[in-house]
Amino acid sequence: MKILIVEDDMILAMINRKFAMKLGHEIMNSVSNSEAAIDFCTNNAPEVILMDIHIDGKYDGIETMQEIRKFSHTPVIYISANSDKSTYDRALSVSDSYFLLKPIDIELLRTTLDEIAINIHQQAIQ
Amino acid sequence: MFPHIIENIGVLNEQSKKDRIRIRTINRLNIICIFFCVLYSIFFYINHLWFLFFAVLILMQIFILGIYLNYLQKHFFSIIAVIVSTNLGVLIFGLFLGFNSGVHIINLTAPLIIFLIFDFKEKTKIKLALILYSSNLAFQIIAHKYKFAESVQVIDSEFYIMNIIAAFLLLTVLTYYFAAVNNTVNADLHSKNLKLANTILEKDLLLSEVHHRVKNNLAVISGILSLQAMSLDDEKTQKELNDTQKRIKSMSLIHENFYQKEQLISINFEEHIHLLTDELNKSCINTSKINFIVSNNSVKLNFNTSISLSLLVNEILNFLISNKHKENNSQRTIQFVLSQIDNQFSLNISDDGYMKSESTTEKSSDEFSFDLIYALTSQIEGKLDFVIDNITEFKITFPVK
Repeated sequence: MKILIVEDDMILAMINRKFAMKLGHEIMNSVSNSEAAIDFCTNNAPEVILMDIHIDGKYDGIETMQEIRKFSHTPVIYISANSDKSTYDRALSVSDSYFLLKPIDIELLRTTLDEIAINIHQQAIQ
Repeated sequence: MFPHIIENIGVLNEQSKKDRIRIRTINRLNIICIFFCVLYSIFFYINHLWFLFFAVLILMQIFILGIYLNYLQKHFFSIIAVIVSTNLGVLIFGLFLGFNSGVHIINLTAPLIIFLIFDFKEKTKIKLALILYSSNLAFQIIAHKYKFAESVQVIDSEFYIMNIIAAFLLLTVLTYYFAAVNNTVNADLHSKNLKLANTILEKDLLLSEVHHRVKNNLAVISGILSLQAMSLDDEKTQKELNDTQKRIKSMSLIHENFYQKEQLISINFEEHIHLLTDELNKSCINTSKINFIVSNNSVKLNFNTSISLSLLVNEILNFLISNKHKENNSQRTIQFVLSQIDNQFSLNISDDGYMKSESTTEKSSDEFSFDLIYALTSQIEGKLDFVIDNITEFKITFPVK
């Protein structure tokens, strides 16, 4: 799958990129702020977004996804350091969203990406 | 309204704002009383009431003494001087001018005077002062009723209007002043509350940022270890890197648990073990047949103990599940029992499926695990007992802190 990474920590962005590539996915781009993420999704069509919640820019990761949802239904995997109830509920209120807690485990990432791939495949058949 | 130099006698910058207000109030009360004393002394002088004239002069000196005591930083004695002189003044005038003169009405100002000169917390002193003023009023009423004060009355009700006006004037001035002082104190409290609320907000933001940084740094270390493990061909090194990654995950979970509960004093360890085993179940395929049972009598642990115990549990779990389980045991159960007896915590971890490995790779890994297990047990000043038999059991006892 074609993946967009939104992460303001460059080392974590690199780790996520390597993880995704190791799992056989293609990285379209890696951006660090909300405006760049919205801009990229306006002009491109990633199949999955790996979104950190605490990012640079005008919006946080969840608000950025709410903006992207106005024109795109790309599934999102939130990767967050905080799993408090309000963050968790707010994140999952966006449709087609998944939640992983930092530090992410490559096996969990694999399971989540596989689930998304199956969903996309099923939607394509329907 | 009041002479600035006189009202600030005894007021020092190092005193609290509350104390400064109180000292100023005592000075102002004394100034008001001196002002009334001057008016009365003129009146008594004109009417040739020499006894009362000299009595007023003495009272005036007590009021001046009150201000001087403030200057000497003897604030408590200054308060006593105010209470004694006001009581004495009302009593003498009440008896000598007669009940009908209305002097006793000045007693109505007593609660205001008391609450102005005492701190609200000084309940005993407030009660004593109230009793003194009430007794004074009661004595005047009794003296009037049983007419034993009549013999000393030098004047009757012809100054009634003057005394009533003086009493109500004093009452009005004190009420207004009382409200003004309360407003100043309330405004001060409001501004302090705002500052405190802002400080708490700043600290919350700072705490949230620190937590975020800690979690991000742990994520970076965990990710790097994971990538390094993936790039290696040596199975033993790969396993060791993955084990270390799990240790970091365990630390990260403790941080998350503390931050989520917004409770930095203690943590419910049962919840933490559930989170740890859930993570283990999610990420390790070979734990799918393990049934984790956690029993805990709502034991709460502090942050430092929780970190060490979490690493200890993680290490024991890794030791248990990284080894092959008994082939004939399809359903494996690992049980945690955390309890508190008096000043001792006890954590029992039992496994019905552990089988000692014969592989040299796993043996050396186990050796390192045991080094860590012993070190972490020492960290919490605990004692470790274990039995590797039909049911493998680890028992850790450690003191409550």
